[in-house]
Amino acid sequence: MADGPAVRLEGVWKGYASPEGKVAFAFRPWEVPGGAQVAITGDSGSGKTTLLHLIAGIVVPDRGRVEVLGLDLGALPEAARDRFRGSRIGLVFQSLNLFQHLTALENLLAAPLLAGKASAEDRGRARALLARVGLEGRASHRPSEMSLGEQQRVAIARALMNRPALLLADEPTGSLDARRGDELLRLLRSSAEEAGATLLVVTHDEAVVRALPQSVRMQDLYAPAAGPP
Amino acid sequence: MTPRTLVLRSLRHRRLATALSALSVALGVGLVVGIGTLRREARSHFQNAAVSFDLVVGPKASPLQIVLYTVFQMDEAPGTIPVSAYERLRADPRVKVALPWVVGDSYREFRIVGTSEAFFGQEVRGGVPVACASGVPFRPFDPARREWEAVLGSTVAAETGLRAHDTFSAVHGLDSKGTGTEHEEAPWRVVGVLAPTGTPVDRAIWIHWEAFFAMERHDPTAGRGAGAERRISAVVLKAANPAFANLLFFELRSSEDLQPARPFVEVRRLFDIVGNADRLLLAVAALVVVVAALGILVSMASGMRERRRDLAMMRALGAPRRLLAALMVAEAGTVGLFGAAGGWLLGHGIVAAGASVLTEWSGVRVRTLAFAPEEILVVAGAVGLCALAGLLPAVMAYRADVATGLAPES
Repeated sequence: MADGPAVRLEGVWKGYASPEGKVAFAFRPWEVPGGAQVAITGDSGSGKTTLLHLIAGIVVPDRGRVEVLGLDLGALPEAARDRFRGSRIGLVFQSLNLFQHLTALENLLAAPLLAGKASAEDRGRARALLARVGLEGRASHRPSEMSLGEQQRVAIARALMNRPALLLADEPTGSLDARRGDELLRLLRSSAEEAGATLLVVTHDEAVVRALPQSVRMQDLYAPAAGPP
Repeated sequence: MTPRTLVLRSLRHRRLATALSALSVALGVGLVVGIGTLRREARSHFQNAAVSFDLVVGPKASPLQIVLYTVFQMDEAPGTIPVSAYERLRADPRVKVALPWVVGDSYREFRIVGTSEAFFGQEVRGGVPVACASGVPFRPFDPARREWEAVLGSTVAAETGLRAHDTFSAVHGLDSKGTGTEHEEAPWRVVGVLAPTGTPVDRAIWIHWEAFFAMERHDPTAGRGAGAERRISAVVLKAANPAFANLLFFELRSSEDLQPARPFVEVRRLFDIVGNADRLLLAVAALVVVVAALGILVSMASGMRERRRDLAMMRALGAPRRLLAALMVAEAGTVGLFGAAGGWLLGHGIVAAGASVLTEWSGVRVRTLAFAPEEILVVAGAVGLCALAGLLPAVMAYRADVATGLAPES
């Protein structure tokens, strides 16, 4: 766990073109302490995913700084950001999280390979993580042979493969029913705790907000001058 | 897990597109390999046969025609030459061996060639001697005994089923369908069957040249009337050394009624002429490979939209842009490798399957396991071309936007 904040936003402004026209988000300064578990909530189009992408280094701010685990992501060249994301950040998306042509085990093994840190221990760790998410018997199954809940559990296991210090989840329960969503959230939280990772979950699901110890609304993150888009 | 696993899994996932692309590459490479093999084998066959003799001397005609109707059992004899020309050449100290050559009859599609007993033991195709595998060589024809002895080339024996002591009736003329008039007066008796030589010798029936003249309707003077000198189709000879062969060639070239021809030179000239045609065939086959590579490009490029989520996910997991580009090139190259390897097998398979038909049709013996080093270049070239075809998808993958790719499909 990092000593300083896991995430720090400072004067961040991000604009992009959308089908509705030019959209811009300006964020107020914000810090997420290391080891925290925070729900980020807001309506559709409120910029949740943009914020997640900024924190993941998938996009960089037009202005301001996004510091993750002490690194200013905007100052890093793209290749270095890719390496950083691959090795320090675990990502879980809403759906279609997995490579359809790979088995569950291969999906996990793809994480260190793509991050350029494959090693001989990967296979053992992948099997252990699949067991951790209760899917040891599904290692050789492809996503099409698994339920959505199982696929999300594989995605969580994959996000943990590279021992991330920060776990980012974008609507991880969005495609699941309430019971399965609740189970998945518990798994996500306990996995993050065991790994000592900070957990940020982007959601519009009130149940998720209630289940996490901290939450923040998107409108509370906007810089006062900018307001919502 | 290695990048190779990712490539193979991705290709397996799109197995229909992969199979079709590989098949089109295979067809192109198969054509190149097949045509190349046939071209090489045909050249080798003709050249092997051509080196059997140094010089062929016939009537004034095209040297190529003279070589074709003597050494290769093809084409018609354009005329005759006097026997004295043969006797003169046989007595020439620069000549190691001179064989009279008389053609005009056939049995089924095989020619009957009259020559002397000196034919046996002659080396053809780089040291392979003309020798009987069964039976004995024919004896010089004795007009008193009138024994019609014939020796079969190995292909003739295999295809007609004739064996030593069998008899057959020759047909007047060289009609390949065997529809000429039968020589009923001379039932030929097979006395021997030659061992295979891999040359046109295998596809002829060999008799003593004097026996040829003794048959009815064979006018030894070729219509010049009683008392005129006997005439033969040609003389085939080996010189005592290559320099003498050249000397004889230039001497005979100035003769008024004789035309010398050097088989090796004529075959080379023939291949210079037909070379353009088979180069064209090869170019068409190469074009098929190019079209197949373009097919891979189109297939991959049009599939990029459905792969954008995977590509974005790879980037999200930390894959650098250049890795994605490399995977695309590797996928295209792997399809090329599968196709080229399959095409190589297909090319040789087709040649192997069609070898016997081709031999029957053209007389060219095709070695089914004849591999050439340049085939490695063909396979490598096809793989390289297909990998090149992966460059456009590679650029598309390189430029793929992660955020857009991760967005839910609208």
